Amino acid sequence: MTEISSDVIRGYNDTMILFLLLNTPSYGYEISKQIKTLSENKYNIKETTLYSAFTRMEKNGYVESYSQESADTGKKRTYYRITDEGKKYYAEKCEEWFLTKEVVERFIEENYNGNY
Amino acid sequence: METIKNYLDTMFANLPSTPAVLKAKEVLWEMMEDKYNELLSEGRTENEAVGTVISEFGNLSELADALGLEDEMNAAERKLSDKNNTDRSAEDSAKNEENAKESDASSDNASESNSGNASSAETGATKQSSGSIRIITASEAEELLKKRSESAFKISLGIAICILSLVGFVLGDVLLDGRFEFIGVLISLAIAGAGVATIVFGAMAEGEWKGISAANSTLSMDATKYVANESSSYSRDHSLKLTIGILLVVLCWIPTFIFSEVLPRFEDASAIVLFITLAFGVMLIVNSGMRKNGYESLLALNGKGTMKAEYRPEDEKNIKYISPVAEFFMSVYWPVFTCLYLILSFTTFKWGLTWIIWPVVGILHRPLKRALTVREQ
Repeated sequence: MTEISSDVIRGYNDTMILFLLLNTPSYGYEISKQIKTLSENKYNIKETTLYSAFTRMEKNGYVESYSQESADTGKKRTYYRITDEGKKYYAEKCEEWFLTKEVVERFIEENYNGNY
Repeated sequence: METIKNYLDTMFANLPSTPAVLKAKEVLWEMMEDKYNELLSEGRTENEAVGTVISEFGNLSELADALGLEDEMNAAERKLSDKNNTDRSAEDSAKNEENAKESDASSDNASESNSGNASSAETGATKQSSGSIRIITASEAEELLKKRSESAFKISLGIAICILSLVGFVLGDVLLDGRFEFIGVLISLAIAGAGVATIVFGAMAEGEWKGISAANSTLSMDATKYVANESSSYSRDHSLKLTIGILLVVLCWIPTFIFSEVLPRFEDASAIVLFITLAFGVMLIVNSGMRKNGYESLLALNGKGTMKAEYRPEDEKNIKYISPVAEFFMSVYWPVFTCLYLILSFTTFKWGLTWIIWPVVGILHRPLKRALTVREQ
C-alpha cells in the first residue's frame, strides 16, 4: 500500500490543524486523533510534527495557546484556538491548494502502471 | 507510563533548559499521556501502548526548527566537540564529528523504527556521543557509589587509627611508668603504620573514580535520577553523622573529664579517652563527607544549563569573591581554625576552654562569606 510522503504533506499540516480549529479550540492529542480519523487512518501525524506546527503558527499569530483543565478528568492541557489572522491564512492555503491540485493534476495519469 | 516519561526525559536531557524547551516538553508529555491512556482504554496492553506512543513520537530534530532551537542544539554539539579538542588532536575531533553524524542518523532511525521501548532511546543517546563522552549508566553509577562508600570507610578508619596511634605514647609514658618509653613509641609507630596502610588500601578501592571528570563523562538520565534519589535519601544520614562527628571533636574533652573524675586513679590515662573520642569523631566526619562528595561529583557531571542541570549540586566553585585575598582567606578558613584549635588545645591542655573557638568561628563563617562574595543580580 502506498504511504503518504511526509515531505509532500508537510506544507499542509498547518491547513489541516487550522481546519480542525475553525469551529472549536482543541488540544494536541484531540487534533492528532481527528487527523487520523478524518484521513481514515491514512495519515498519522507525529507528536513532534504537530508540536512544531503549533509553535510555528503561534509565532506567526495564526493560533493562540492557553492552559485549561479538562472538564471530565480535570487534567491540565494546552489548548489552541484559531485567530482571525489564522482564518485568513487558512483561506489562502485553501486557495493555494486548489491551484496546486489543478496544476499537479495535469501531470498525473490515473491508474498508470505501464512501462517504466 | 514511567517508560514514556523516561523516554521523554532522555530525549530532552541534554537540551538547554530554556522556557521554550520546558514548554515543548510539557506539551509533548500531555500528548503522549493522552495517547497512552486512550490506547489503554481501547484494550491494548501496557507494553503495546508504550511501544506505539514512543514509535509515533517523531524525532527531535523536527522540533529544533520550530523552536529556534537549532542554534542551541548546534551550540550543545559544539560544546561537546570543544571538550574533545582539549585532549585530542584536531584530526581526531574531525573524526569524532563524523562519527557523531553517523550515530545521529542511527539514533534517528532508532526513534523512528518500531523499537518501542525507552532503552532504545537510551542506547541511541549513548551512541550519539560514544566517540567523545562516556555516558555513565545507572548500574555503573551504583557500582561507583559502592566503591566510594567502601573507600570512604577504609580511609576514615585509617585516619582514625592514625589518631589512635597516639595512645601508644600515653601507654608508654604513663602506664609503663616512663621506664619503657621506647615500647610506647614502637606501639605508636606500628599502629600508625597500620593506619597509613588502611588509608592506602582505601585510596586504591576508589578504582574507576580516577578517570571520571566532567570533561569526559556525563550521567545518563536514569543514572541521574538514581543518584539524585540515593543522594537525597543519604543526606539525612549525612547531617546526623556530621553533627555527631563535630560534637565529638569539639566536645572531646567532656568524656575525658568525666573519665578522670570517675576514675581519678587513672587520671594520667585520661588522654586515651580523648584520642578515642577524637578518632571516632574524625572518622564520622571524613566518612560522611567522602560519601556525600561521591554523590555530588557524580551529579556535577550533568552539564550546566541543560535539562539535567536541576540535579546539579549547588556549585561552590561558582561563588565569586570580591578579591583573590578574600578567596584565599575563605579557602583556608576551616583548616586554619582547626590547626589553631588543636595547637591551642595541645599546648595549653585547656580543652574545656578552647572548644569555644568552634561556635565562634562557625557563627562568623556565614556573614563573612556573604560579605566577601560578589552578589549576582
